[in-house]
Amino acid sequence: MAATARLSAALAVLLDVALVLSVPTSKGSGLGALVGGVGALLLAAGLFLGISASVTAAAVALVLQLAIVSALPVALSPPLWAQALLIVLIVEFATASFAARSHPLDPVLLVVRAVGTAIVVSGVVQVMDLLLEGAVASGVLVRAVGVAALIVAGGWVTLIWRRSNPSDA
Amino acid sequence: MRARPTARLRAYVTAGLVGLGAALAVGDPGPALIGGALLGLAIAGLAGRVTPTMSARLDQIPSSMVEGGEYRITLQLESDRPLGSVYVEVGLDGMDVTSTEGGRLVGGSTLFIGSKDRVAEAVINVSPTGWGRSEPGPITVHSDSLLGMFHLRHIENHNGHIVVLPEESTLKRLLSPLETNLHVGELVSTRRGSGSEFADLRPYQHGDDPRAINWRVSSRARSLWVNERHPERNGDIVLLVDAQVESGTNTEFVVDRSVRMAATLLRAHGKHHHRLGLVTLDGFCRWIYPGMGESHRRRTMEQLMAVTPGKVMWEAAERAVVRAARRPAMVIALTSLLDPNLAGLIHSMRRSGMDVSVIEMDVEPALSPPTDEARSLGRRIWRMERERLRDRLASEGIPITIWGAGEPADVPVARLEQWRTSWRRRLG
Repeated sequence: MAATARLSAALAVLLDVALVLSVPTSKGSGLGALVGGVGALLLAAGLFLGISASVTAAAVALVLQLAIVSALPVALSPPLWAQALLIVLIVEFATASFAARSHPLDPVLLVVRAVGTAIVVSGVVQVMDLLLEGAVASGVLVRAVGVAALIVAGGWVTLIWRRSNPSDA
Repeated sequence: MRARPTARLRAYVTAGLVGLGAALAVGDPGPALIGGALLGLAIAGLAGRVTPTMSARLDQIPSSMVEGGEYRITLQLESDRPLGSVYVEVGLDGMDVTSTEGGRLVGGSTLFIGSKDRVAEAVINVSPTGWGRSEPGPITVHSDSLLGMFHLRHIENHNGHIVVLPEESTLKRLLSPLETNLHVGELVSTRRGSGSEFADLRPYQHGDDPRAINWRVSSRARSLWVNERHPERNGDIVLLVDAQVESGTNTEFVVDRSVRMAATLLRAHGKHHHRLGLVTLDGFCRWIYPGMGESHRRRTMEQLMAVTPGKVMWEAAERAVVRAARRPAMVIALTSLLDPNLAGLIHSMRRSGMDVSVIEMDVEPALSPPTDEARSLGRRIWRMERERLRDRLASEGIPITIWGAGEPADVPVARLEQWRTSWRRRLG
């Protein structure tokens, strides 16, 4: 196994373990940590044995871990955006580890891509979370975003319509 | 290019769906937010999937290289869409990629090329690490679709082969064949004819060229005398490369040395316009009749580079030697003398009047030291048998010398030539 593959596999497992360990274990939420832990174990074994399905198993286990913890009356830790960030980073690094086994990869590009994707996803999750809270609180923000989306969608449809009928332009 | 979904796509789609389902089950939006984001990522990746048509080829590959030299190979990439970031694995076995231009080396012989254009060119500077005849491996282009949801791969095979010649050693002296042939060359023939080397004087005969008259001698002798001269001719040289060793053992390096010496001799004798032939004794006994010219030289080198250690069929070997090595050829046998059959072959060539010389490859460094007294005794007996074999060859007038492991190539050649010179003097 190439050094890049080994490093990215180790990083993926490390982040997975960190995410599992950071989950609260009080009031029955330890069950969530257990599910996440099983996922981390599967990921480690899969990366060692070269089974790419382990990436899916780990991602599913982490989402289930989040679902179990959020169903219980405990504070969510780490926050939602951080969980999204870590899940994407784990998937990206684990996938890169498999890719690096078939051909050499540029490690810098690999890290930039993983971090970039993770930041975008966690940003999206955070914005959606804020929107959701706003909708619950007053609904003003949701209306504003809804109107903005309507305007953008309308503009896009008009643009496509005019491009497809040049004689009317 | 062939597209294959990555583990990333499967993970995002499955985790996204599980997140949405789990959110419904537990009645909390948290998992739905993450699931939705992951699904969105996967959908964006799926929507942005394109499978470009690509071609990759290596240009300017020298058909013949020399071990340790530096060569430039050009890699051309063409696609019907902007190339983006691609990893190109170039199958250059037995070559070190020393530097690249137009692409970044990311490991082994894999280049990372980032280009917004549809065409890209990269220069790969390579240095062959070992001799041999090989075919360049396929060029494999790896790329990713948008967000890395699909792995795109394109494999292009390369036609043709590369011959890497061993590093050239300088030979200060060469073996001169005892007999020459009828072609013009650089060797002074023992025969008389038109040439520049003075041979003898004789009385003028009707039909002699008046320009050959030696006026000084004629005036003293009061009759016409003419100069006789030795013509310059070339010689036929046949190299007999013995590659019979037990495969998978340390003794394989003996074959490597034989081939290196043969390549050095071929190049050196080729520069002196000798006609060169080759007999390689490995699994297949192949021979090339003595000849000259660029195509002959290339053919000889290609056969030499195709030598692999193997078991020799001696009947076939004898036929090959008889066909390729005929008088007036000089045969230089490059052998480890591990098989007495070869000694027998050399004997029979000598008995038929051939001019044979033997360069024996030293095998001692490849042998593990004896571990007990019995093995030590066995080794001593084996050495004595080999010495006897050498003595027998030498007693029949076959020059033989051992090429020691650390010695340069010109040392055994110089020793052989010295032997041959003293032998000729002794014979008068």
